[in-house]
Amino acid sequence: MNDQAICLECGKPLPAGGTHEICPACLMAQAMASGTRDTRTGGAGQVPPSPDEIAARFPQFEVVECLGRGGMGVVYKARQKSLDRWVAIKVLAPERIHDERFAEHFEKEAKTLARMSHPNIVTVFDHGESDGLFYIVMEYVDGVNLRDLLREGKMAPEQALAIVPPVCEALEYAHGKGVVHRDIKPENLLLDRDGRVKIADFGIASLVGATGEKSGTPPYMAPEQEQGTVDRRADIYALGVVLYEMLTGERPAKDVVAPSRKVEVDVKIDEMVLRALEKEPERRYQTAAEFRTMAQTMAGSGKLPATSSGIREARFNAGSVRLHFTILAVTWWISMPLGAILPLVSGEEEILLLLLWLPAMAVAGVFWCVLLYRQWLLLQGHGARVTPGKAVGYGFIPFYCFYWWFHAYAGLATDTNRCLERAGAAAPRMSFGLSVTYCVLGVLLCTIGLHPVAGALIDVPYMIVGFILILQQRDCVLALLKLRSGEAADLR
Amino acid sequence: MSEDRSDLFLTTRWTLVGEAARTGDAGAKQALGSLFVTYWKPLYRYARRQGKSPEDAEDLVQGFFEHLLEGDGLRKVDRDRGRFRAFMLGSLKNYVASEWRREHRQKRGGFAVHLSLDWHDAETGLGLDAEEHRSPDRWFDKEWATALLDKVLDDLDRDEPGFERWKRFLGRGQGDLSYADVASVHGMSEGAARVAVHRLRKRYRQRVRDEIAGTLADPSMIDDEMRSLFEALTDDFT
Repeated sequence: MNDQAICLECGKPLPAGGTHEICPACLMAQAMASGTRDTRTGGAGQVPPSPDEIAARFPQFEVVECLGRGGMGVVYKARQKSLDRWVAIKVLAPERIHDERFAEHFEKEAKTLARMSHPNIVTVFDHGESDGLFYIVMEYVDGVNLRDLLREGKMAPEQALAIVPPVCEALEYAHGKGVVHRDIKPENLLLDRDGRVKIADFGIASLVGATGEKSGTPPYMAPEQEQGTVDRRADIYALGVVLYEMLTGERPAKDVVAPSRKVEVDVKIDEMVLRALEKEPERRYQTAAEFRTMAQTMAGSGKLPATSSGIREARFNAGSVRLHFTILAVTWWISMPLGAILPLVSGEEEILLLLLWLPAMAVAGVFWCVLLYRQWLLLQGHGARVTPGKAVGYGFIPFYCFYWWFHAYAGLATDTNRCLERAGAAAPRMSFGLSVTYCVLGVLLCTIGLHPVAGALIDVPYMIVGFILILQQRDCVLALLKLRSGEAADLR
Repeated sequence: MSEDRSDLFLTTRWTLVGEAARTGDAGAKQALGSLFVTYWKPLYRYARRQGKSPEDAEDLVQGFFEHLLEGDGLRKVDRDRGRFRAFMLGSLKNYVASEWRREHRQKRGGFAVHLSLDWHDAETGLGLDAEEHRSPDRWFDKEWATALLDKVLDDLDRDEPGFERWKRFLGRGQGDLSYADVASVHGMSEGAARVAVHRLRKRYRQRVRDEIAGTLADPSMIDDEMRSLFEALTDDFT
């Protein structure tokens, strides 16, 4: 057995001739891989009606086989004799139909579904009731579902990203018609032979959940779905879970670990995924279109989109950041001492001081606000938990509102650090303690600052802490800027 | 569902062989013949490892087949019919020990049933060094598994359009081969490639199971037999 080719996969020698030059041990291993055989039925519970039983109820169809069974019902493959086309018949599980008003609700919902026509949505042809069995006749998709593909393991990021836009388009379309899927999961995302994606079971969840029961599939259910409040953002969350699963091969844990921590993907993909997975619906993409744009841009260029969700791109470069911070530092050093000695002087000197102090103060205030706002913008692109509320807070700082002051500085420090941490950037972090100290000193200055001695005493540490904070903030903004322009690797 | 049906059908193929012993039914003999066509190679190589010359090994296999069809060989099928693999090796050993010498003298070159096989093909890669002589039984199992996989791949090649294109995905785990590369070569999307591979894998797995089921009396033994074959394949004789 010398000088023989070796299987690159398992290291065993390859036999000469035979098995089409594929390693037999690997071939057998492939055959033993479980869960991917042609067994699409099964599952716990009662045995679904056989195709023959179903065929007896639907004389207009030639029922061929049972394609599978889900929580909502059983699906059969059938040929519609009159039109000579393949269809899928979904028979709703009888145990789910326990409400007297179900028939009415079913009728209403099914009509809505039948009106939907989109290339990425499985078309509903017909619906009805036959001897107490509610059924829906749908387009038959010759292909596999995403669950089948995921059993083969995780997917390449490009491929995972490619699946998102068509799903989003379909969701956009349906959401526009006021239809929420409520049960987006890999089992419901079908891929046909040409690799096209189609969403199945649109609205079935809401259709079956007629009596207000919770419907959906737990790992893919948005947190708010637990309380029964569902809107289109629940679909976005579910798609986020699917995307996470495609990228990592696992579903997100309760505390979501960024995909880049698990597999080799760009950190920018983290932010895109994590935003869809936000626990609070307000923090997610608000529309499927937003999610789609993000996925397309990622797939297209690997860069962040120029705009997203109406948040303006932070249009500045490292040079302008440095300039901004220099101006801030200078005006800070001018305005603070002037402010401290202001109560000690009077008359013409006071007017002269005021003429110097007020503009310096204004410039420092404006620049600081602008920088905070831009820092917030940069964080947005990285999916940090910065809400519009906090952004307003940053703007409120000149008004010396303790709550906003604290909220803005401590919040900004936390968000910035989390963002840099996630990106694995070995950049300087903002000090949370220093931010809090700054806030406390600021409030003290505002309250006791009018007393000449006390004001001056507070003013000195306030000046120093503020200056260190400015320096820290500058470094962090530069690091965030670098992250944004795709130089994360340099920061590691 | 379809799996059960095909298991049933294929099991019958091996059960038919047992029938052949009692009834002498021609269809049953055909069933044995079809199994033999798939699995003669391990037998031949087993004989070669036992020190037989190519000519003698050829005669041995030829004679063995005829012995099974005409002689008393199949009577033992009922008693020992759990696995076709075990039955074949056991029968061959018995045949070698008791009858071959005599029959060979009588029938050299004049077998009533002629097996049309490419005997030369079975010589490819036959090492016959000391190591291979040491454990012919284990080599037999290994080559049996290889023959089985060969059969499945040949069938797929015949029945599945595009098999050549995708077959290399059968042997590997995920991640090593790029769907994108293959897809771009054939001008299709990566998603479509993935779907195609998935389908092929699914069919392949089913076929391996079917084929194994065809050599067993009891379909519930499939997983067990598959494990044995895998162990045989990964056995490096250390």
